[in-house]
Amino acid sequence: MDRLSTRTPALVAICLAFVAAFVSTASAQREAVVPPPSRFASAQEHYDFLLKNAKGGTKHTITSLPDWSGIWQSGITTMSMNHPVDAPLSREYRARYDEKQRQEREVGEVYYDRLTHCEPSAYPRWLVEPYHKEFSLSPNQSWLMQEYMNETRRVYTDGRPHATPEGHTWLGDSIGFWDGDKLVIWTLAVKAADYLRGYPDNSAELEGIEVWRRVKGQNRTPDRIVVQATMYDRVGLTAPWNVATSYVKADYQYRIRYWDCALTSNDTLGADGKTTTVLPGEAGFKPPQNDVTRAPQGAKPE
Amino acid sequence: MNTRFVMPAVVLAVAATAVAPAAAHHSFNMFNMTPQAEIAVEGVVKQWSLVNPHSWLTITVTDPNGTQTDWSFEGAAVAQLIPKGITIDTYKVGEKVTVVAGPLKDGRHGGVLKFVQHANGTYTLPNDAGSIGQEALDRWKAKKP
Repeated sequence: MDRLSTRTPALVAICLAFVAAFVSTASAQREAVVPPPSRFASAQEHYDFLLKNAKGGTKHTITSLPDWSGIWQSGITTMSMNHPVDAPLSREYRARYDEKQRQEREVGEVYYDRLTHCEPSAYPRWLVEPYHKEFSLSPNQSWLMQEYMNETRRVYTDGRPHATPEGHTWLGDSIGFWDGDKLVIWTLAVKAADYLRGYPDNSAELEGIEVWRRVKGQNRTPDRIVVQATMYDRVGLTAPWNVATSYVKADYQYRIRYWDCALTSNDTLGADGKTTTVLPGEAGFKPPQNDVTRAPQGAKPE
Repeated sequence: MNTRFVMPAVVLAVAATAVAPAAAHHSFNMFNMTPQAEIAVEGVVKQWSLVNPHSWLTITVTDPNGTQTDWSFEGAAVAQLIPKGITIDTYKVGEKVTVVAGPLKDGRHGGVLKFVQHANGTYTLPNDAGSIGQEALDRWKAKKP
C-alpha cells in the first residue's frame, strides 16, 4: 500500500479546475426561487388563494394530463437551499442549525444523520433527497415516487379534504389540484425531521404548499420538472420560507427497484456520537442478502 | 511511491467543501477524505455486494509473508452505479484489483471507495460522495510517467 502522491503544481491546477467546474455547474443548475404572488398567513390561506385563482382547478382526463413519464434525477445541485440558508429560523431551530454548521466545520460533515439507521427521508426532505424520482399521474390522484426507502407520496386531486386519522406520518397528508399543467399540493401532518442532512430541522407543525410544473429544456437548460414550494412552520420558522428544486430527466435507462435498508445497512451510530461502519467479520455486521458477487462461470455457488 | 504531497491549505479546504454534500444516506466523518490520506490497496476480489443503501467491495490482501487480510470498501448505492454502467458483473471473485480509497480514521481495514484499477489497466468509479473518485483518478493519472 502506498501513499498516493504527485507533483504539487499539477495537483493545485487540477483542484482549482475541479472547484471552478463544480461551482459554475452548481450555480448554473440551481433552481431560482419564484416567490408566491402574496405573503400568506398560513398554508391554508395560500392554498385557497391558488385554488380560487385556478377557478376551482382544471379537471383533467387521463389524456389531457401532462407527460411526466420517465426517470428523473433529483440532486442537491438543483435545489435553492445553500449554506448558510436564508430560512427565517426560530431561535431554537437556528441554534440547532448552528450546531450542525459547527460540526461541518469540525469534521467536514455532521456527526450523524438519521437516515443512517434507515429512517425515511420524509417530507419536506423528500423534495431534495438525491435519489431518482418517478411520477404516475391520473385525474383523481398522483403518485410521486422516490427510490430511496420506496417513499411514495399520494396526492389526492379529486377535491377530498385532508384526513389524518393516524396523526402525523413521515410523508404527511397531501391534497391538491391541477391548474392547467401545474400541480398544486398542500401537505400537512408530517413528522419533526429536517430539510436535508446538515440543513435545518423542521417541526411536526410544518405545512408545505408546492407548485409543480414540467419545463421543456431550452437554451442549454435541461428538460426538468420544477417545484416551487413555500414552507409554513410556526415552530421552526418565524415566517414562510420559499424554496425551489427541480428534477432533471435521466438520459439513461434505469429501473427503480425495491429499496432495502434495514437488512443491508452497515453504517451506524458510534459510541462517540459520530457515524461509523461495521466491517465484515465484526459483531453486528449484516451480510448481503442475495445481491452478491456472481461466481465465475462454471463455479458452484457456496 | 512516497513522494511528498504538499498542497496549499486553502485549496484543500475549498475542495472539501465542494464535495461535502454527498448523495449518501450517512455522514462520511468516519473516513479520512483528504487526498493526502488516500491509500492504494492491491488484492483479489472476495465479494462485491451491490446493494442499497451502499455497495461494498471486499478484497483479500496477501502480504509478502503470505498472511491474508480482508479489506472492505464502501461505495455508492445501486441507484448511482447502474447509470454509470457498474453492475453486479463489474467485479469478479478472484479478480486482481487495486482499490484507491479514503481510509477509516480509526485504522481498521476499510475505507470509502474512490476508484478501482482492474488488472487490464482499466478503471471503474463505484464511489459515492460526488466526484471523489474522478478527482482521485485524475491525480493518479497525473503522477504517472
